[in-house]
Amino acid sequence: MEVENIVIRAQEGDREAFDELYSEYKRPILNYLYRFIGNRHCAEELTQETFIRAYINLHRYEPRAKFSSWLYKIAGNLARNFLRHASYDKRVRPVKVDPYATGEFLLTENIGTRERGPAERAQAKETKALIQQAIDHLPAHLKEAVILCDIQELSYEAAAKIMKCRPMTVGSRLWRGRKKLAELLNYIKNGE
Amino acid sequence: MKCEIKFKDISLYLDGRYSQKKREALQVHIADCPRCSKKVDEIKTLRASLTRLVPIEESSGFDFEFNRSLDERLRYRKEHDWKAKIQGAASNIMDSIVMPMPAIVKVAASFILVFSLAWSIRAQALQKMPFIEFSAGEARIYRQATNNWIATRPKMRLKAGDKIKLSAGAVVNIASKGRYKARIKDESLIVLSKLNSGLRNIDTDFSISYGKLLVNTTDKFKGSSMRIYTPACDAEVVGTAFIVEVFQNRTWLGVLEGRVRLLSKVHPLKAGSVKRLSTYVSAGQEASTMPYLYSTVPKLLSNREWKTMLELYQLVEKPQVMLLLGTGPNRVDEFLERPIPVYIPDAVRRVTPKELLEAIDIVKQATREGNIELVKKNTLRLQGLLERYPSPQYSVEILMFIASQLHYVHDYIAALEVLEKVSAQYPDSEFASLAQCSIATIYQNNFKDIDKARMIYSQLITTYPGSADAIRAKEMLSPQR
Repeated sequence: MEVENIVIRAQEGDREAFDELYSEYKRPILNYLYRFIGNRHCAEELTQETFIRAYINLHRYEPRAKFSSWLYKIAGNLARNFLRHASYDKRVRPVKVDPYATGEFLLTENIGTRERGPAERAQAKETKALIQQAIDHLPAHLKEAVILCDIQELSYEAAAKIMKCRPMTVGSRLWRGRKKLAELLNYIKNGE
Repeated sequence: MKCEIKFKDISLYLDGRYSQKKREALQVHIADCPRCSKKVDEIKTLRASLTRLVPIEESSGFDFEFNRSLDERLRYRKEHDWKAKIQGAASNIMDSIVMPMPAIVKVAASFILVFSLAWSIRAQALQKMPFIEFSAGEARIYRQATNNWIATRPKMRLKAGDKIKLSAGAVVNIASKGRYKARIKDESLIVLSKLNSGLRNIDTDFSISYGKLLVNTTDKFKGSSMRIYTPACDAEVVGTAFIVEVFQNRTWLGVLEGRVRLLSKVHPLKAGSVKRLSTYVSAGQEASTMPYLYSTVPKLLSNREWKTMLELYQLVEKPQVMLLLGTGPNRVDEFLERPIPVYIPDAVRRVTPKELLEAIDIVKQATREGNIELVKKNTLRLQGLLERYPSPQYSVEILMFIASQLHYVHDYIAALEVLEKVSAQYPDSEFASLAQCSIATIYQNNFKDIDKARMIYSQLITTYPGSADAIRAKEMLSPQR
């Protein structure tokens, strides 16, 4: 309810209210885009673009859906367009599923630092790079489901609103995404 | 026993999407089946490793960069958003006209506006397209779409590729509203080979296999083009009235107004390769050509030909009495050579007093019979009638007609009087310079008073420097004469 009030204030032209919304949602959107694209710089650019578009089109937002869903929708569209763009392949997409043979960004990215100890950290880093790379290889619609439900930990219903489909479709995309991811990460050998 | 449980079931089971009953059943199965419990472990591990991915944080300067680019974008939109400006202005106007208006009315109004605009543009374009205005006798039209010959009927719109075939005695009038009128006569086969309609102009090409085509263009024709292809030549129109007749491959072209460019095709043996030779046929002239031959030199239309050309005036009626005269520097000769024909359109006939028309007919009759006394008597009466019923539609023209008749019956003094009247009373009319030129010519030829003639010629050059008669006057004053 509180968010909705801020949105209404922002719609009336209150830039401070919009700044509040921005600082509230910039990190989830950034992470969503980062997982979607797999490149930090591009994700940051697209995050900014998402909020610029949100600001310009704020009058079009109707409080029937959650504000965050609306933002995710904008970000998702931007990300899909970005991936569809021809130059994307040359610029960021890793060619092989081999953490040692990929571009430097994967190894330099700081995906997670919860583990302690240099050996463990290196191991964890490698795993996380591998996971991100596997995510990169998923088709966009499966990727979206995996990111929203497994990484961002949204419910089927919330994800369905963002993806503009029914909750069961989310479920089906999710299991197919997981399966493919598992295959890619060699958790499952020789498939089902 | 083979395990029927699939990856999908375990994935949904772990997400808690199954009913209590099914969940319990699966739980029991998984506990027993090592394969399924392994799958459960795998999915759990995968989910955990995905969840454990630590969220990244924005790099330093991210917020600053965002605010900067947002401001920049907003400024750009403000400067370049002309659509919004127009919309704003339009909505302001709309609001000032009709204050509160439901959206549906606005939508309906804009639909009506758009439709009426489109409709009017279409109507404008269609209006120019040629159509059959009138048809008589046995006339048929061949259209590719229907693939057979059908009888022509009025208001039929013509399309490119239409063939029109007429039997002897038939007439078809074609009109492009405001641009030109054409008439196809007698035994003819004519193809409308090209038809392009622009916003203001219309380009029409006719091909004549044989037959007769009369064309009369109007003032609005300017900018449009018309080409007529015959077996022997191409004729290009420059704002004009003319007749093209094709008979056994011979093309005859008679021009009443304006001028027509005649492009003859010359035989390769004569010119090396097929060459096009252009001749301009001006008003009052005729020329003819055969395939692969040079066209004849344009010469003045004969009296009999003039009469056939009269028909052109029936096509586009101007509310003005017409003297059938050319416009070139030699029109004085034409004017003094014979009793000049006069054409009175119906539009003028309706508003002209009956006695005036009768008087004209009597004068014509008397001239034909060579009855000098009768001509003199009736021209005087006609002049009296003109003074009683003056009209810009015919006054000058009929005075010139009288002068021509008097000259023909050798009453030069009376003719001079009438011509002087024209140049004195109507100095702005198109015939004033012709009247002066005729006066000079009469002095020169009939009274042998060269000095007086020269004086009038030089007067004419100063008063009407741009006219065709001034060219003639200069010619007469040149030292070679």
